[in-house]
Formats: sequence, structure tokens, C-alpha cells
Amino acid sequence: MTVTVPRPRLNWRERLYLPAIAAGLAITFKHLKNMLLGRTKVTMQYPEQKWDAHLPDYYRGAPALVRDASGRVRCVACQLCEFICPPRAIKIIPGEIPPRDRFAKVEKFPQEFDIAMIR
Amino acid sequence: MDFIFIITSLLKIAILLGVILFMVSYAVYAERRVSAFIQDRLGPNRVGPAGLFQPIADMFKLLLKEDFTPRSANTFYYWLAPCMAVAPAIITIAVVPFGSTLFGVPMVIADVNIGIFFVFAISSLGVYGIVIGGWASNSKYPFLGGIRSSAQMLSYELSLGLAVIPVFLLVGTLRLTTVVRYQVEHGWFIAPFVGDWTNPWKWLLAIPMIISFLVFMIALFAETNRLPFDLPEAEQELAGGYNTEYSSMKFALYFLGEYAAMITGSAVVVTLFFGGWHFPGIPDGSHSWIFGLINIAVFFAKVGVVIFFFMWVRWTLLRFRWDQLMRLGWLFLFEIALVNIFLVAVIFL
Repeated sequence: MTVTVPRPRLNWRERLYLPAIAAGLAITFKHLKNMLLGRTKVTMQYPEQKWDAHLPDYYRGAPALVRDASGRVRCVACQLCEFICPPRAIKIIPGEIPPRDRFAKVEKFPQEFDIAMIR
Repeated sequence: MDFIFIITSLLKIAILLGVILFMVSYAVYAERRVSAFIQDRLGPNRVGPAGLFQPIADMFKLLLKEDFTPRSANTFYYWLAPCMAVAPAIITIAVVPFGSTLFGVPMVIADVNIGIFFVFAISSLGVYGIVIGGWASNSKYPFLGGIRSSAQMLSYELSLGLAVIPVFLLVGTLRLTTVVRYQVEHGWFIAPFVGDWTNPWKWLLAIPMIISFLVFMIALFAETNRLPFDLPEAEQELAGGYNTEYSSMKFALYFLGEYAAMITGSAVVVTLFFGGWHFPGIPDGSHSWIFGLINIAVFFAKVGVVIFFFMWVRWTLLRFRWDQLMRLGWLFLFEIALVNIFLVAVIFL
């Protein structure tokens, strides 16, 4: 079924198009002015500025496994990330939690969790 | 033809060419900075203080790039086209008076009595660079860009030419130095404050002058392929348009031609409507050489303001659709310019 979208009826001021151009120019000039006066702060000058000044020099942003409140690795070795990884960079060897452990019945844990960063 | 005339002309040509090329390279830098500021970014700010050496770095980059010629391209025209895009844009500046006088030497390279005809005749040759480049690349997108460019030029050259006729109705001659002289005595065409500014007829005449200025400016945007009308090089649709297949210095020449056309176009606008080198209260160069230098500085400052306006518009407006462009050119601008001529003639009589 064809739907005819009604075109909006524009008055002569809108059809003249020049007031709209002037309004647009005013908006872009406002951005230019705010940028020149230093009111807009969007870009961070990366090597000079960083989010956290207390990071050690050797920090490279490498991924690590998250631990929970009791210091246990939260990964349950479900191997979904290993399965989905396109370059097959992740290698996980799951291990059983020993029966006498407090978390024995919970899940598995990663005996080995390797990410080949150069793959 | 005396010896002094040749020497001063050669000096003027050399200095003006240097100034234009300098302005081109820094117009590219300014374009990048202005666009960045408008979009809340920073733009190139690493090379030198505030990124001011960026044009030099860009030049070296372009020189060191591989100069690649596609196998299917028509080599002769492929090489010729970028030169044809640059040359007209730079030649046009020859008739524009960029200052009053300096040590008694008029600050215009060629004070010809067909001034504005020369400007239109030469600057419309610039389209051949684009059309031939698009055709010689033997590739789809450049070809489409070239075709669009030729159609766009055809429709906008007409309004461009008609829009300036009111100016010459008033001045009575095509010589651009006389146009500036007229504005020094009677006030700029878009703001006639100087002279007998209490005369109501003069203010009535300012209305068609502003219409004329608007039409000329819009047509100039199309003429220089700047953004509301940059269909020949629509990056999104045509992958860069006519210069898609170009690389290295040939691409740089196209870039140079585009910005040189923008600068000469701004210079013509300043000469025709903004009073050229005139600034209220500053006498011309016949009084002192310092005033001569100030006049030149005023001219280039005005050109800079118009160039900024070009950039400002580019980063504000969207590209027109192809049929909208043709509609605007043929159904509105052409008629407005035509009626405007009669309006000026009636008021002037």
C-alpha cells in the first residue's frame, strides 16, 4: 500500500531559505567562539594529559581477570570468550575446584587463561 | 614600454604570486582549524606553535607520495588537467587592484579596461581542468564529477555575470581600479557611508546592491566548488569526484587550484562590493608610502574575512541535491539577477 507523506506547507519565510542559513551560521559561530574562548573541553591531549595521573609508566592497558570481594577470580571458565574470539587468541584450560574448598559446588575456575596479544 | 614599468611589473608579479601561494597553503591550514573549532575539535596543533608549520609538513608529505598514473588513463590530458585547474585561478588575480599606490606605482599588475570581463573569461577556463581531469582519468567517479562540474558552471556563470552588471551600471566602466575609485568617493556598494550619505536615493540603491551581492556570492560558491554546491567533488557520493584518481603533486595542484580560485574569488568580491583597498579614514598611497602599505594590508584583511566566510558556510550547510542545485540556479538566481538589473536602472534614472 502506498502511503503519501504530506509535505509540510512552508510559509514564505521558510521558503526564502536565507533565515535558516543565518540561523545555522549563528549556531556554528557559537561553537567556534566557545572553542576559541576555551569553554568547550572535549579533546584530551593524550600523551600530555591522561585520565589517571597515578598510573605506573609500564601500564599498557592489558586485560586481566577480575576478582570478587573475597579475592577469588570471577571467571567461571565457561569458554564462551574462547569460542567467540575471531583470531582464536584466547586459550582457557578449565579446572575443577577441589571438593574441600568453600566454593566447591559453585563453578569451575580457569587453570590457565592466556591471551596471545600478538595474534 | 619603459624600463621602470617592466621592472616594477615583474616585481609585483613575483611578490603577488608568492603572497597568493602563501595564502593558499595557510588557507588549507585555516580551513582545517576553523572546521575543527566549529565541530568542537582541535584540528592540527602539533607541528610547530599551534600547528602553524602544518602546511610545510603537508607539502613534504605530498612531494614524497608516489605519483601514480592509472594504466587506463589518457596520460597527456591526465597530466595537463591539474595545471589547467591552477593557472586560471592565479592569472585572474592580475587585474584585481590589491592596493592603491606604493611609491607612485599602482598596485595592480594589469590595469586593463575590460577588468571584469577578463576575470570571468579566465576564471571560467578553470572548469576545463576539472572536466578534462575527470574524463582523462577514465574512471566512473571522476567522470561523473567532471560532468556535474560542467553543468554546474553553465548554470551559475550566467547569474555570476548578471549579478555584477548593476555595479557597472553605476560605475560606467569595467576597469576594476575605477570601480574601487568610485567606492572610495561614494562609499562601498553594500554600505554607502562615505560621500553624500544623507542622500536617500543612495540608500535606496543599496537594496538592489545587497541583492546583487547575495546572488554574486551564491554563484561564487558554485563557481569555486565550495560546499553547498561542491557536487563535482562530493566525497560521500563520488569518493572525491574528479580528483579520485590523482595522487601526489597532481592532487596537490588540484587542491592549490581550488583554494587559489577561492582567494581570487574573494578578491573580486572585495573589489566589487567591499570597496577594495579602501577603509574609511585612511587615505590612499599618494600621501605616504605607509598608507600605501596599509591599503594593501586592508585589502588582504578583507580577503581573509571573505575566505573565513567561505569556510564558515562550508562547515554549516549541507550539500544541495543535484536537481535542487539546477532549480536554484535557473529558476531563482537567474531571474533575481535579471530583475535586479532593471531595478537598479530604474532607481538610477
